[in-house]
Amino acid sequence: MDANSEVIVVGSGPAGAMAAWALRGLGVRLLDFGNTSAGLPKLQENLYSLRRKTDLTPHLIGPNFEALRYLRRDTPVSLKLRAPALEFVIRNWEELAPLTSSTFRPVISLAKGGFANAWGAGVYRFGEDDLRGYPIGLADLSTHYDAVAQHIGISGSRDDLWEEFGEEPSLDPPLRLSRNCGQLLASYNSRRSAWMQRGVRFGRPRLAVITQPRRGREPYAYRCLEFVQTGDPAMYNPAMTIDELSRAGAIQYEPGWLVEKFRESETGVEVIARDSQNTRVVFRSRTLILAAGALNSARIVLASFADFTTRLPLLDNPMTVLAMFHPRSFGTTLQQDDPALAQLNVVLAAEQFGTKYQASLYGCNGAPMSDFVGTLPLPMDVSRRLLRYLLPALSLAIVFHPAEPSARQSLRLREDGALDASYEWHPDNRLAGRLSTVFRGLGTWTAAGMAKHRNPGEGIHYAGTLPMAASPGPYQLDTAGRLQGTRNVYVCDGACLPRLPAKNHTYTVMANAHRIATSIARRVAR
Amino acid sequence: MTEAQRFFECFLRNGQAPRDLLEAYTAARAALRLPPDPLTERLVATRSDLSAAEFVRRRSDPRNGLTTRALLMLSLAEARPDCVEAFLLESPSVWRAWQALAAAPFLTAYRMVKGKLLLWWHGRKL
Repeated sequence: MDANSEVIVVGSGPAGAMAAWALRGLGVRLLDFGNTSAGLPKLQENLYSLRRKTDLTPHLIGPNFEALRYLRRDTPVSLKLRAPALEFVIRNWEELAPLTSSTFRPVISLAKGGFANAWGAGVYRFGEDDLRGYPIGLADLSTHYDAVAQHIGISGSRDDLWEEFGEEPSLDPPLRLSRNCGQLLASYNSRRSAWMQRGVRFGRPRLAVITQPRRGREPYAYRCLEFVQTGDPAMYNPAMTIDELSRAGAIQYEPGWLVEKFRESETGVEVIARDSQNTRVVFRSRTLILAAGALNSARIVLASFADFTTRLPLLDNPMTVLAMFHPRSFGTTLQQDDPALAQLNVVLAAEQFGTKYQASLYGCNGAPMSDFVGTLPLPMDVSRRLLRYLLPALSLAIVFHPAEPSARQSLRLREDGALDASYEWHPDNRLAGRLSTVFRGLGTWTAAGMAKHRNPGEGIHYAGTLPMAASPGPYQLDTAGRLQGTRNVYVCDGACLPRLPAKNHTYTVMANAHRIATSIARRVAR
Repeated sequence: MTEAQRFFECFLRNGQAPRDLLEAYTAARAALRLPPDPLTERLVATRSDLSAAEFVRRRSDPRNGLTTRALLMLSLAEARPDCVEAFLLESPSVWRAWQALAAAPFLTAYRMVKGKLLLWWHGRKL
């Protein structure tokens, strides 16, 4: 098989989808491994109503007990990736895109839509301060944030975090607030100026979840199925964009291909990919855009130069999770239509907290209780009985730590094709103390000892492997996203970002991919 | 007395477990190829308190065979409507909640002592 096209985009995650969107109608071939869900029938009712009347074993456990395979693994699997209908998100990665490390615990997605099939849908614009160290500024990204927002639909509110999360031209109203977070926000609002003086600001999250009908998509229906299935039309998934473009004939989507490497020729770029039977095929195009994710794009680039010695930089936002207890909700029933999505955000100012931190607050809805039972220091039957009363009163604050490039965080390609990563990170233990002080001041019960630092890699915010630079060196990109030393090879995913602030980076990855692809589109159209 | 029935009694509730839950447990155990665990088998055969033994074993080895089997049973039960009340509170009960919280440390201490004795007693016979 030998195929030609104007532009090849590799990967269908948030970056690949936005690149394809910007280049639609210009001869785009999108190569993707493209795992999809196993085809279980979609649940259409609230999870808890269903649990009372239907055997959900096929959906929660799977016909082959897929959701329980984590019991045999040495490394933990995120709760959101265990359900049979979500297993496809990380299917095959260990065989097809292996990575070895004792200090970095990533997962890699080969799914159509990438990790956005199981994401929290948080979309936060980077500000000038967040873009410190980038060779581009907010002015370069603003119109592309607008274009992405227009395409995906965002809900949120104008509140104390409006400035922090950036101006949005239009927002759907935010999701309904849970009882616990409503009480927390009311407590904050009653002493708002005092909290702000202490460098603490609360507000509603910005989510790529619509609460009003939009372009044929239904608004969020409060079914609490985020841990069970993907494909809620209210929540943006890059697969929607890919499907829309494919249906319209604006791109050629080709699933089933794992891109291994590229080589440049006089006329353009040759892309070598293999299918699941290990049949290798060469695709040709004028331009190649890598959007396979920060880890896989780095793998493709290093393999293309047969470089098994260079160590590339590696970034991830390590996470800290702090549990808190709302005493007024202890012994009440679970609010069963609360979304299993972020309810509130809190930003801690750099002046008072050393580094600026952003935390998102979640309830415990939707996740199976069995996953919590073994984590309490209690016998399991005691723990199970207690959790029935406790879960409605629990919230989790998830904090992302910023990440700067360092010699202690790197990635190398081994000759057997596996990536070898190392990541050294030491959490700032003062953060948990400060955060618990804030939440105690708002009426919850918590303590620094209840904070758990997760391993680097578990944040799934990978970035910085092929960073943009004003004067790019080897394995760096210019501001247009072009790989140094190549003529027509671009990278537009998280690999581009030279540092990570304490903020979800997906929206910025999408806006930057749109920016890079828009400039390529202008050139192609000429 | 099957292993599945004993796990149901110790971790969920007394009484006969639904037959298809017992079958699902057996099938899941086989599908996951859980390695044999002689201590668990002995504890089941002697109708010992699995919850107490599991608690003590989990403290030193969170991935031991007894804990894995307990999580297997709980996960399978949680997906079924006939076990929903074991996981979800159907009506608010603040008084019972505080009672459960107050009792938890005493039950934990009791189970700790009992579990240590069980593991010592059955461990030496293996």
